[in-house]
Amino acid sequence: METAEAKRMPGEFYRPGPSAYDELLHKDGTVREPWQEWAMLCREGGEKIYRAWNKATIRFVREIGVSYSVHRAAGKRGPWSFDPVPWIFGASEWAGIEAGIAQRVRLCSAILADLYGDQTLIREGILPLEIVYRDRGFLRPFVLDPERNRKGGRGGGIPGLVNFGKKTAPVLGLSLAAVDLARGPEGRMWVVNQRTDCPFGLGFALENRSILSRVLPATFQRCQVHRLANFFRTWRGELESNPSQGREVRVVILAAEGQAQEFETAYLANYLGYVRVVPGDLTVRDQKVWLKTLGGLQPVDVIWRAMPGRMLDPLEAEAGNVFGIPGLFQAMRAGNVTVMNHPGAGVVETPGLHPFLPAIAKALLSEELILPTVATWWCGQPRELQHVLANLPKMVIKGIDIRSGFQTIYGSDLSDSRLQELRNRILGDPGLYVGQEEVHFSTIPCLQGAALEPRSAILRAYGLQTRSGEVHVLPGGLARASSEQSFIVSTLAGGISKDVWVRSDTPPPRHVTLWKPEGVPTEETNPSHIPSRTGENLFWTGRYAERADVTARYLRRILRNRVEGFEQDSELEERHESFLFHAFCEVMLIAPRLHHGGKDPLLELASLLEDETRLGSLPAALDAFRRASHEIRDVWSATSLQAIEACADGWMDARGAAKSVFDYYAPLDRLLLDLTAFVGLSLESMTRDAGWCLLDAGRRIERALLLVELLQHGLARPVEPEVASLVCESVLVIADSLVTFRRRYRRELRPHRVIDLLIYVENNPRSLSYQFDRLEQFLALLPRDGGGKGNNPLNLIREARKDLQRFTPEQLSAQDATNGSRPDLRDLLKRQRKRLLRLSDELTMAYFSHSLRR
Amino acid sequence: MPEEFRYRVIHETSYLYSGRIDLCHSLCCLCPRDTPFQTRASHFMAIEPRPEVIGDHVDFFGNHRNVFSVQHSHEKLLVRSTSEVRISTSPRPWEGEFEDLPWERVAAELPALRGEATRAIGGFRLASPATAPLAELRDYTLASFPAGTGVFAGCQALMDRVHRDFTYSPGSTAVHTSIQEVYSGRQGVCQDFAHLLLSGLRSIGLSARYVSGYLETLPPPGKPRLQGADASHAWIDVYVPGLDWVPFDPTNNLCPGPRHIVAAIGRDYFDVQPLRGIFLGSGSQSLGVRVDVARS
Repeated sequence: METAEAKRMPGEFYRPGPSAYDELLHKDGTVREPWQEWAMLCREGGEKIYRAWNKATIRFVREIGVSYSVHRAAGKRGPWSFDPVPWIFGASEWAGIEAGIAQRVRLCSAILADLYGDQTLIREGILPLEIVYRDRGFLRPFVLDPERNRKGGRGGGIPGLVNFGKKTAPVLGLSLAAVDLARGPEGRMWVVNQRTDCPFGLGFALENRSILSRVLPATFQRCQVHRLANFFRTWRGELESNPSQGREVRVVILAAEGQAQEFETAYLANYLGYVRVVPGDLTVRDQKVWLKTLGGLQPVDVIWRAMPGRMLDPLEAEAGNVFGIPGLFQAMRAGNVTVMNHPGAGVVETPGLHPFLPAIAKALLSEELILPTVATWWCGQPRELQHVLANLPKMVIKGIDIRSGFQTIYGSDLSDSRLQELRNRILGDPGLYVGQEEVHFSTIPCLQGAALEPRSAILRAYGLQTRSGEVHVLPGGLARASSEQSFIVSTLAGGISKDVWVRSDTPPPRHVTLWKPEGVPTEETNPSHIPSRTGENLFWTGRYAERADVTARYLRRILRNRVEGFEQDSELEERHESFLFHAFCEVMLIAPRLHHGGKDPLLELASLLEDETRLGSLPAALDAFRRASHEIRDVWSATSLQAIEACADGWMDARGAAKSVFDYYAPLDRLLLDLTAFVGLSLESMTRDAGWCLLDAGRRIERALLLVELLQHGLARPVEPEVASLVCESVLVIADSLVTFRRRYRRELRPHRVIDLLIYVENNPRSLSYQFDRLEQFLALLPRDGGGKGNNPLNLIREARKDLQRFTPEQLSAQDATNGSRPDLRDLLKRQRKRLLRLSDELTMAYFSHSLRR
Repeated sequence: MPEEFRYRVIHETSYLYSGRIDLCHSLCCLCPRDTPFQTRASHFMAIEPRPEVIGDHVDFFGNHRNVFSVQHSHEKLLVRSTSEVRISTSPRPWEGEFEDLPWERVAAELPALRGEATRAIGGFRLASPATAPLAELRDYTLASFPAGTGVFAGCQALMDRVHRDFTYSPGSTAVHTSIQEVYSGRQGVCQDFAHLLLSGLRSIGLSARYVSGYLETLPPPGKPRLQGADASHAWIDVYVPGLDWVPFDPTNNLCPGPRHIVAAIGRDYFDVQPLRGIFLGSGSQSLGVRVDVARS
């Protein structure tokens, strides 16, 4: 038996905040029951254990936390930091919360069914019309026409959408809802918000769980924490149980481009095994939704949307909206696609609902609310308006249309003059506002440095309603704490995010897996599962990675010239350097800013190393590489993502540290290593599917193009005889083939040997022949019925190879007697360049563009 | 006078693109709805090139919608809506005797409406995106509604003032011109005047709705040609207890009778745009609209 003393948390470790309720400690300083094991760990480990947690957190966030790390890689501070202290709930308390959440989800569903059905709530005056009709989340295109509804014409309305309606349960409209909960001073849980449009945070909750179960593995086991996977399995079952015509149901996760939440959406998509798409990936034809893939257009049955409902269809949503998928609502009306949550589900998010919920619950469910909502008054009613105005300094003012851009205002923050302004604003259009009692939420320990500090926290819980009407509550969730010692926890401003542990009285099953049962074909290998946009970005990731690589090799060669020289006389070295600059600029198609006796070459070099705004510079190439790869962050393994980060971040660090261009020598080596690591990883960890073929094709085409240009400038054009051999050497170095050359020929650098090695030797991975070889091999694996139009890209490659076979290295190295140029080589390279550019265009036409044909 | 007028309405929209369009989804609001005084005898849509997909439904406001998609490459699009409509010539209720209730009383009672009227009437007292409340417009409106003024009398006075104070000036405004600009510029077209009235009346608590429709192109002998007859027209309906919805046409300063043909009803223009389309392809577009309304 533990004594009360043993249960006490040593005061120096943690002191609760000013709030009336602390999650960890009772008022008398003893530890609350569910936290015993965790507190024991702290007692035994002391400060040492905090340091260990911090270390482990950093490590696992890096390894697992895609959402956290991608933000970091983008050079931005992530909106959330991960805290290794969980929020722990005991089994019995959770049972009550669970029942309350389940009821909320049922209630939200019933409200939606009513508002998009016969609107009893409005017609009977239970809910003021204004709160619904002035909310932009209320989508009129989905309200059933009362007359047609009665007549039951054409399937009783809109199939697939309108199994809505009180009498026609099961309700299909609401699938997933999030409920934000916080604990008031008396220890009771209150509902602060409900999120039904596209409830975010599940991806974070998953990530947090997989990080924390690694940071605190033993405690996690001892606490018998409920696993999350079952909930997701149920969810996936719901998404896939949609009836379709004798084939596997295709589900996609739709996210808007450039959304703050897109990282976690990507994480979620990967976890559930669905393709993540943006609106541009989908198209509506024949009132059906299609995914543009490398294998042509593929039908989509279910869309899980992570973008606002009112943005979904620019044809029918609000005027001026340019996002979305035109025709989607019509496809829904035709019953050809299911969208979850229902596009109009956002309307139940309005805080204007809160004051009326008890009456609504009674009217629709004949139930009392299990979890109360924070006291709220709608200013559209005279008495309530008076109450809010009279108590303004104690009020939190929210807009009833949460999409209007109105920012929540805390009366307690305002000066007298500001309060007067707010008063006038409310009086100008009272129906737009609610006042909510400001509640001081409970505090929870958060690890700050090497100490635990109290922070206010709210819990986002999730409920999933199945078609049968049953609600499953995620045994866990996403906890968010304020980063400052204040009571305000904002969704937008970010803060601290935590894992939520719900304890079980019985040991949970050890292995809960989301993997599909045997026999289900994997989606990876089928080209018709890879969105065209993904293919296109893979292709460009390959091209930009190669471009960055070759750029770095040029610049390193120039720097080498400056740092060490080549034991030639300085005039010769200067001419050689000038050749390198000019060749580089022409290869990269940029304007040289250097003329003989003009601008300082070191300044030009610095510009190419540092100026990301300059086309053709190394940072510009790296930026393009990172952008293309980030567009498709969900295709990379965690390690590949790290390699991508390492390239871009490493170079940023180098730029920060460099005092002169000479300091870039080592970072250039490092960068080449990191780029090679990325390429190697993608080689090692990706399946050889159509996407991979395009990644490789991008690399090969870019390498071949840059090589062709390098040979054009270094060998085909006239070069002054004195620098010719130095130039030959540079060509080999930039093509990363000097060592190979020495080993293979063990003789002097002669142009025909260089031409042989860089054009003809088939087992030199840097030679032109090798690039064609690979292109032919992998492009043959791409789907033929790719959908788009255009010629067979393979023909171009065969043609290119035939052209090479018409010459020998000796023939190509024959010089024009008058100016020393190599006309055959020049013409051959010109033809190859044209073919390579056309090949790139053909691939674009065949696989990335679907505007014309199916 | 015959018991009813028969009209044939042709509303033709043509798009000419500078490039090729591969996919086009459109939503139309061109089919005239029935009203207590108006019956649609027929409606026919002709679309070139031939769309692969067509459909229709009734929208939130009870308007008939046609949807279509052209899924092959095209450079121009022609949408011709032809309808036949019968309109009763019987005297309208507001032309006779009625009790014109004070506007304050009506404004106070509207929020208390229950049953179907809550949304059918109450829904139109709320501001909409294109008719947001404007303090000076509210004051302007109130000048026509001294204490105790009847709703009908007030609306007539307001319509008369707008007709006098504002210049009908085609081309002076565009679809997205705000009522703020219209109010301070003192000019606009029928759609602007309708929005102006809607914003003002709603801001003092009355229910009013946007009506899109048509006027006879060539007036019968001896009758003046009305403003707005060469294109689709717009006016408003105001809810007047005892009379139901009463139309006011601020552009022509009259309460519409059998010479106004109703197409659709909404909160503002954007609820009843005649043709909305999203095109997939390159290039810009030019638009031509032709309306022809003839007695048949």
